[in-house]
Amino acid sequence: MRFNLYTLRSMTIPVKRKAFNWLSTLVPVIFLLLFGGVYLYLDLWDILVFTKPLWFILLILTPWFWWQFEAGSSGLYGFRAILAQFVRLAIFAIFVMLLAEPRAVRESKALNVMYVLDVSDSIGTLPVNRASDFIVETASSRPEKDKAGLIIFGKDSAVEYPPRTSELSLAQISSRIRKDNTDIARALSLANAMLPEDENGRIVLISDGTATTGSVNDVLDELSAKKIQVDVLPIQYDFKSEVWLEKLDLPKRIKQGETYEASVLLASLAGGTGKLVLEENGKEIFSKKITYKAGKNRYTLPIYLREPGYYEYAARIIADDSADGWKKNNIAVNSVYIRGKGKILIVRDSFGESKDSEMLNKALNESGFLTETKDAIDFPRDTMSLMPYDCVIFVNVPADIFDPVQLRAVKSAVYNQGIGFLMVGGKNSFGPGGYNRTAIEEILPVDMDITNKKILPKGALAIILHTCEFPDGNKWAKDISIAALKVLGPNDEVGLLAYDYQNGDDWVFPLTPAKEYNKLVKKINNCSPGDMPSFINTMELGLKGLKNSDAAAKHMIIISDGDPQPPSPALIAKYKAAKISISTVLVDGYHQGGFQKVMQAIAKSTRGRFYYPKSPKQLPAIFVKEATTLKRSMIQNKVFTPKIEFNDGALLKDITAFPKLYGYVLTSAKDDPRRCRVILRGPDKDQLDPVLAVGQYGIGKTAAFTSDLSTNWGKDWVQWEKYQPLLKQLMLRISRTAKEGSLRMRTYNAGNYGVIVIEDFSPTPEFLEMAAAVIGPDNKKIDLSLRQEGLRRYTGRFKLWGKGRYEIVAAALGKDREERALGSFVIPYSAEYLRFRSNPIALKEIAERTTGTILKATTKGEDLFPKDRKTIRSSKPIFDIFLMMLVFLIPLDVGVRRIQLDFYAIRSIFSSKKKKDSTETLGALLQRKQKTADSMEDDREAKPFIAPRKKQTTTTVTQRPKHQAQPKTQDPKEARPGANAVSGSTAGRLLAKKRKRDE
Amino acid sequence: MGKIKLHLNTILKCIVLFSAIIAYFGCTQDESRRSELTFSSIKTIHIPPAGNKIPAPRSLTVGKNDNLIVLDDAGRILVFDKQNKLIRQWWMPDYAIGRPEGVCELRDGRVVVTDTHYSRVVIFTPDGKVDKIFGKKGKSGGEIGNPVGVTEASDGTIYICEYGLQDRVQQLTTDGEFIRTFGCSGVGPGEFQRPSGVVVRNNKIYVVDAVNNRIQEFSKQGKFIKSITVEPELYLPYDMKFDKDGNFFIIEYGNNCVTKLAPDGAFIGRFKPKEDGLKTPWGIAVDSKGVIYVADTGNRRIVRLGEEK
Repeated sequence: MRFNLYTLRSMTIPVKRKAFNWLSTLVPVIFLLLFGGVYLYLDLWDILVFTKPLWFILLILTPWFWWQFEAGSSGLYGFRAILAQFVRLAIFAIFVMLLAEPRAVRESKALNVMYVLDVSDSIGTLPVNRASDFIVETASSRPEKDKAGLIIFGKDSAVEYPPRTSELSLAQISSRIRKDNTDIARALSLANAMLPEDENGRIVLISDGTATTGSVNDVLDELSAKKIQVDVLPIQYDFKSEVWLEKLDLPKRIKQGETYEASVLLASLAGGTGKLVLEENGKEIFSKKITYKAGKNRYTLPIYLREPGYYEYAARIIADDSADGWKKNNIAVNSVYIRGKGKILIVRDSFGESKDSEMLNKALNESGFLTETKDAIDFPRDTMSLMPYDCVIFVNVPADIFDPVQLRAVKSAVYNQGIGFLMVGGKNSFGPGGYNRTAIEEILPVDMDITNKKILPKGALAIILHTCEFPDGNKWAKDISIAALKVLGPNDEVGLLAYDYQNGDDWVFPLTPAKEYNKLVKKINNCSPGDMPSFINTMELGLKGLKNSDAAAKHMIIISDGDPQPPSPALIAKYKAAKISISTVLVDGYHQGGFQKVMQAIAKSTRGRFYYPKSPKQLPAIFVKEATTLKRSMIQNKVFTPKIEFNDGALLKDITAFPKLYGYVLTSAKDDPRRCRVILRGPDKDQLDPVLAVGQYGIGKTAAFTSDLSTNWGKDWVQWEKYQPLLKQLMLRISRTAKEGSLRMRTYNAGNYGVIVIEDFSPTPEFLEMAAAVIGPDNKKIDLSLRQEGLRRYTGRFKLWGKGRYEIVAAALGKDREERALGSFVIPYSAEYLRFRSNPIALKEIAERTTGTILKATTKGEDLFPKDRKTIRSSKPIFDIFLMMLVFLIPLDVGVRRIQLDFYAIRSIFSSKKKKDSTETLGALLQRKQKTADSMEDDREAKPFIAPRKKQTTTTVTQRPKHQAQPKTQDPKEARPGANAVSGSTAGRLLAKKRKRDE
Repeated sequence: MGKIKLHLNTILKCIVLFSAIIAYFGCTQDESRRSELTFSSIKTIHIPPAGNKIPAPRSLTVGKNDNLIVLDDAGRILVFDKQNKLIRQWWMPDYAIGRPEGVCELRDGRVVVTDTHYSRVVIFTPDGKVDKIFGKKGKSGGEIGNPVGVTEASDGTIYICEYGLQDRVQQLTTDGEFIRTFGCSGVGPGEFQRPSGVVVRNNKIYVVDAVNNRIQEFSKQGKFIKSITVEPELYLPYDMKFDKDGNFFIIEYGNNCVTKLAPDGAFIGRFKPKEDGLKTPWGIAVDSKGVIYVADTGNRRIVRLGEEK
């Protein structure tokens, strides 16, 4: 077939096959009217909106669709034809609507109020409590559909409650935020984000208005644009008298044995009297009564330094209560370090045996080292305090005595100051001491877990949490669970049980290997233990889980107020029979020991331990201690002779053989050879069990001796003639090598900034590349470069981020020099305590810019949740509904046109009459066709050929080409019998005619 | 005749087809949907704030004139009238070491409160003044452990149920004189694990045996009659009341629902809406018109369920 314009036109606008009937135009007309009516209804009643209504122009194609149908050869007639057209037009209309992007309209009158409460240090407890009362009182009288939420803020902001219809109860505020600054802008921004776009929103800000950081301009513009009003409830205060200490200056250069003066700068709003006190390392060394004037006052205090060491000084002013509002700003802190001969610090367990470290101490003294012995509870909390020591030794002291700050101080001292560190073994050291995943494990040359192929008996620990009855109970539950999890080995199993209001008594997670640490921590953080009515179900679940475990050591910890129904004696007997011990921890909020006997009885009858801590802060240490009971299998009580794995040369000088040891703790050597070199190994031929290992960490060196150096496991060693020389060589190997540098650092705070000043006292000045690392509060670290400001002077500045200690390590690189300098300073109180007056003007501006109001403490809930409010319209896309309609209509379109139901056959199912052949089935048609063909054959014999009138059927398979005209009645003269020798069938005759035409 | 036959056949076939459709939808309907309790209205009654917190309701009872008396976990007794408006409130004399968990109103209008963590019973006058306090901690008859549920019998005595030191029920006079005790800790017939609610009806004592997930029936002398267990099982029932027709209404702490049983203990249905449902509810009360009040403790509100549909 040749393709030309005529063909194209015929395809797009076909020629009508039958006589045009105006009535047939009713279909598109009615359709368009219906469509218009539906559109108007949806639009006028705000049910739907269309974002691109111009696409409705496509509806002008409706006649074309209708004509395709009308002029086509679908063969449909009657109702079916009309239905087919409507369905087709409906599909077309839906496509057009989809292009116009329909959106469902929603109207809402609900009001969401976000309370934004300032809890920064400048506010104080009493105003916060009053503000909480106000919030609860006003929120409780809101209409049912209105929502209220709460954000608390200081330096950070946190959502305490998102907007919700249920009650707001502020008995316990669970969000943890920094309070040493006030950032109103961030709080308002968060509140803005919490308000839904499709409902009315309002913010109620309760604050003193004294922002110490951030700017509210941008957020107020945004709130104003969104028509969200901010009502303010000012917290007012105006101190008439206040005294505080601004700084404590110490001399830059100090010599041992000389007297110096410390200078204190005191400021006051009004004159008064008080007592000025000076403390050195926590002990008072000087005090005097003073009289001060309004404004700044300077006082000098004498200090006398007797010995080298690190000294921290704190000056305090004790004024009358009437003259002093804030007490927290009555302190100033500074420190000084006098370098002397390096010492070795031996840290022992306060509750352990002194013999653990006696022989070690004696041997080191005999070697010429200065030693100092401290109990672990007196261990310093900052790196600078460790500066006088060349090496720190932990002797069989468990990790739970320290807090993470202390262990981080050791890590920093090793890494940055080059101080040495040695851990000596015992039953409370390494893994059994709970050092898994601590800063100490990071710096040691060995890991606490056994990572080689050795199969150790593993432990299983189940914890039952019933902590919701005491303040922050559920938060503590998470902390202690994670603390216990950290201590366990990778193959030890841990499971958590609690009562959840939806699932009842159940596992938060069943006994799972502790190596899935990250996954388990997530589950712990997501759990919310509820009020448990009975211990029985959880204990039965725990018993079943522990019995099914193949762990060698099985243990349970229950933390509760003891109120749940206690277990029956039969259940306790099952625990005993299964050799599962249960330790109980009673935290009873206000019950004051009412259920102590229950908890004690459970622990006693299963050979566990009972704890009744006075403060929740003791809980993590308890759980660490309990969890480490599972690590006893790491202690190898066996007699062996250590073998040399690597001859270090200097370390093992003149030592070739070793006496027996009577036990050691299993550890794993770190893979990196720079981090770990195993010098002595244990008895196992297949496993490398370190007995003595050394390694590098930062600029410091560390060592691990996994047996002990006392009369316990090391009883043969303490008698050995090489005991003292070996220890001396070991200390020389790992201790800091004292070297006086040329750099002197001075660092202090100036307003909101920290200042670093380094002076180079080297004999030959040269330019130095200098950089510093600052580690400050929250363990945050920043790096900065220092600029040269003079021939030998370098400075740097950084923004402070809160109160606390800032430690600075500076590194200098010259042509042939590499040096370090250390310094620190303390911000003893937040800038919040230097605000003596609230700022109602700032709050008024916030209210005015957002058309809000200034509230009073007597404001009622009806004023915050007024009955009159505007209706908010919003819309959302609803493509899915239209697509579903298409999914229904497209098969319907095909079905209507292509599927012929034989109603006669269907009727006949319900009819008892004899079935008659239907003329509408294919079979019937074929029969008829055959009959006709037969009769025509007979006629042809008798009569000349006359083309039969074409009968319209729905079973036509071939379509006549569109350009072909209706077959004309042939002239009998043209008929040539036998000229087109085809069968007598209609199809054959038609084919013959076509062939002839084409020729 | 042929025509009639035709119609009958057609009609019969239609009936069969229709019945099949109905049976299909009937059978596939969820069991729980068929046994769902519905009420003409569901309304929330707010607990007034106490300082900066909204206390949670624990126990409630309906008194004279269909007043609702509520204990909350701040240590208050709240009285609402039948329009659910708060008309009176007062505090427990002591609440530092714990809050009370059971309340009932005597026929003379006084209010009895079981002061759970103080191991005693406190009786208030109708206007909230302390009328009497009795009880001391102990296991002997007349001594009290941790009392929870309380109810008045027809003879003016009270029954209290206790857990803690022992799981049992005691009958006392309103002056605190000991009459009898029955039950002990255990799972057998007549034994309890945390009996938390008690009701008297037709001279029978019904005890809500929370941890054993059942109701137990006793004679007024304390003789065990039978256990009432339910299919589907109760889970931590905390309290129950009867309506005027003798139906049980049980509050289930563990299932967060209200369960209704027929007077013979047969399960009728549960109220457990999918949206805005109950959360660890502790108490239930039924007034003279069959309106049910639920102490929806976890959600810190009272839910009023109107007449059952």
